[in-house]
Amino acid sequence: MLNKARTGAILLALPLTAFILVTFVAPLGSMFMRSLYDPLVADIMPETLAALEEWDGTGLPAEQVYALAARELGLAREEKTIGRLATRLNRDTSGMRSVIMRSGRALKRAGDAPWSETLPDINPAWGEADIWQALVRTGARVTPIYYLNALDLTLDSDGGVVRQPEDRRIYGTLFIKTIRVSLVITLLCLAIGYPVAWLIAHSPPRMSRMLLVLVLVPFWTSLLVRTTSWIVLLQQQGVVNDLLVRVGIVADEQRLTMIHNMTGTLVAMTHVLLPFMILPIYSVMRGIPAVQMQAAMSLGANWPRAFRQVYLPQSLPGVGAGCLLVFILAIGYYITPALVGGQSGQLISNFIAYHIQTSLNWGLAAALGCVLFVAVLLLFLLYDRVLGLDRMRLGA
Amino acid sequence: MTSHAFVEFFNVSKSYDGQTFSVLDFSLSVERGEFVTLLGPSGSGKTTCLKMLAGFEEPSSGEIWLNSRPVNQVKPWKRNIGVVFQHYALFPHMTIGENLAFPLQARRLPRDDITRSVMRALDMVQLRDFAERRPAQLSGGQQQRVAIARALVFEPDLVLMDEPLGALDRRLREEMQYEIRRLQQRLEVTMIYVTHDQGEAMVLSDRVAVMEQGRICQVASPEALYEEPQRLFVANFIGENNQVEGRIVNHDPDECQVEVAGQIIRAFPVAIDENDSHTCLTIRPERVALNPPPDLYPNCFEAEVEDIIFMGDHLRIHAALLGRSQFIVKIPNVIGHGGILPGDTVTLGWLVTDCRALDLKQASPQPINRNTTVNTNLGSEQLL
Repeated sequence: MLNKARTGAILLALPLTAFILVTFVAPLGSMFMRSLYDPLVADIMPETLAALEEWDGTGLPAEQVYALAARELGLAREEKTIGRLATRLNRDTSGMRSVIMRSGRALKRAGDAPWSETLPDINPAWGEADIWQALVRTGARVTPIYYLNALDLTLDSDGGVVRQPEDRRIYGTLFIKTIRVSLVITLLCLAIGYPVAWLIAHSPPRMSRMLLVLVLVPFWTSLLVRTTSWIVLLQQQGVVNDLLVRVGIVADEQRLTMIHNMTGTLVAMTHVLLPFMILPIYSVMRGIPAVQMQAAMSLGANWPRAFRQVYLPQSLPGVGAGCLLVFILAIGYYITPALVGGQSGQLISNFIAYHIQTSLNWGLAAALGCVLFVAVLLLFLLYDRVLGLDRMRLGA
Repeated sequence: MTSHAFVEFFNVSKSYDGQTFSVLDFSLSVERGEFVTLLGPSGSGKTTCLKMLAGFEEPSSGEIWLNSRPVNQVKPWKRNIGVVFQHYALFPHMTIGENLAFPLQARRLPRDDITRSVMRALDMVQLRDFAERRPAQLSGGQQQRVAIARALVFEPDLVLMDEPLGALDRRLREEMQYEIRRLQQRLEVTMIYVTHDQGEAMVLSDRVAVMEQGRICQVASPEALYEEPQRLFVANFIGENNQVEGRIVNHDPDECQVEVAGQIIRAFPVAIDENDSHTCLTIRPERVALNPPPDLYPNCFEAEVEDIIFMGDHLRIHAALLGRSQFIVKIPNVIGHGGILPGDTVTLGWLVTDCRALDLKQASPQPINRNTTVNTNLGSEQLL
């Protein structure tokens, strides 16, 4: 009987499990792999790399290495994989793209004189140790370079971990900015959402239902529509600026820039994420009996004291749930900053999207994603340690 | 208004929507040290009265005076009233000790005094070892005792209790009733208690105010309410009663004659109209004599026994009388009562003073059914 019930339960959960495996675990696992495992160069130039193992890393490699490199470059050109090779090497050492692409084209016409002379003739870069070092570095199938880059670190020519040159350190500050912005959004949502939740939880039933619908209405509107309406409202010739100019608070030539910058990101994201703060707080507040405040006041506590010592502590589980929800959503939010963030309002997820869609550096995108994931996990554990996840409630 | 009672309601009304009244023209005085119960069915406005007195609601009209000053505008936290709520309303995130310390901290008492008072209050309700526990770890009865201790710990002038025993089982409820009464008498605190349980009201109160649809029907001691109900609602609500409707054919200050099914019943006029109007006679089941000696009772009628129910210490007889069935008679289970069987014809008799003629118009549309066993016991207790 028990076994039958258990089999039934497993069967019922099977579709979901399969769905999650296919749509969630598999892509996540694949992205995680990409952040560490990069076989591109190793697959295109296996023999060159094997031969380079003999090389001491300084000076120039032997003629045989040059010959293998020329052959495999030629093969790559024929199989049209040379572009990816060039991109990959260029990511390691800038300027490599043109070296590889030009060499590929020139090799077709070149004779088969000693390659150690022909290749440097085609491009003097082949006469330097740098290009060979780059090949060795990128030739490793398992590489920490994406994680190092995601943390603003890189490898120097000796293979030691060093910080990126100052002008290339972007992700560290970006992570910090993303966390800071998410915290600010969470606090804004809390400041706006707590009183609203209070109002909904303590209004007469009709009023409370109406308010709840108003909170839920945004869910029925497309996220795109909601975000673009902020553009209409906040742009320089927009409703808010017009109003401010009309009233005379702002001069016409000094209209405020409130969109396509950090202000735009903050305003629009606070709006988008507000329901995720209001709903858990509301559902916890609804479970606090009205007599609790009455009891506190009858015992001699004035309203602020009764609220602080009796109501607030009992509503904290909802506040915790709301804050965690909003913060985690905010830290990975993409579409709103992309639309209204401009240059300064971009967050880490926008850079991940950039590396996936534009620069096609999936390894770095995956590493950034994993760092973000670990950061959120650490914050989650910190939350559990300080406030306790078991105290968090989504409902009464 | 030269001298005031401790608590006074002057024509207080409360309406939430401006049309229907939860409380209508409510006036009541409570003396210092008195235990007064507001008794009534649910929706009769008794809890609303309590809320207005505690300051959670404001009267729509009328005034409430506490300790010789009007308190309509006084905030709840300045009234110094202890309140015990129906579901205890202990603070779940605080320990029992913190719950009890709360009113003392709100009054900014020194720490040592707080600790001492909390321990004394815990001793008072025999929960000294529970100071560190949380309310959820206590049983219902223990939580109730904590709630009472919390309402008393700051030595309020007045304690209000809103159906405090409603959530407890019967045995515990009876135990707590005596404990509340004992505490109230020892501390000499003024107490206003709300309940729909007439048994509770009888045990606890110096006076009981019976409420119906936002108004007071009658305020009197438990004995007076039982023995001399002024209205049909009270007669029905307190204890059990036989009701017989009839037409008044003649009335004097001490006695009236009422025609029921062609026969005349002699009754005591309490609230009646002119001759020829209708009235409702109420007769307590335990005041009906079975087969009495002739000429002892002015009212004697033949009846047919329909059913006999054995209740342990007494028998309940249902009889058909004057054209109506289910006339209830209670006779004590003493030697020599037996020999009556369903279908027998018997004589039932009662005194004029035990047959009260009340006004039909004041009848409640839906008399509340009570637990008859409890009623009977209480009834006889009150009579002794």
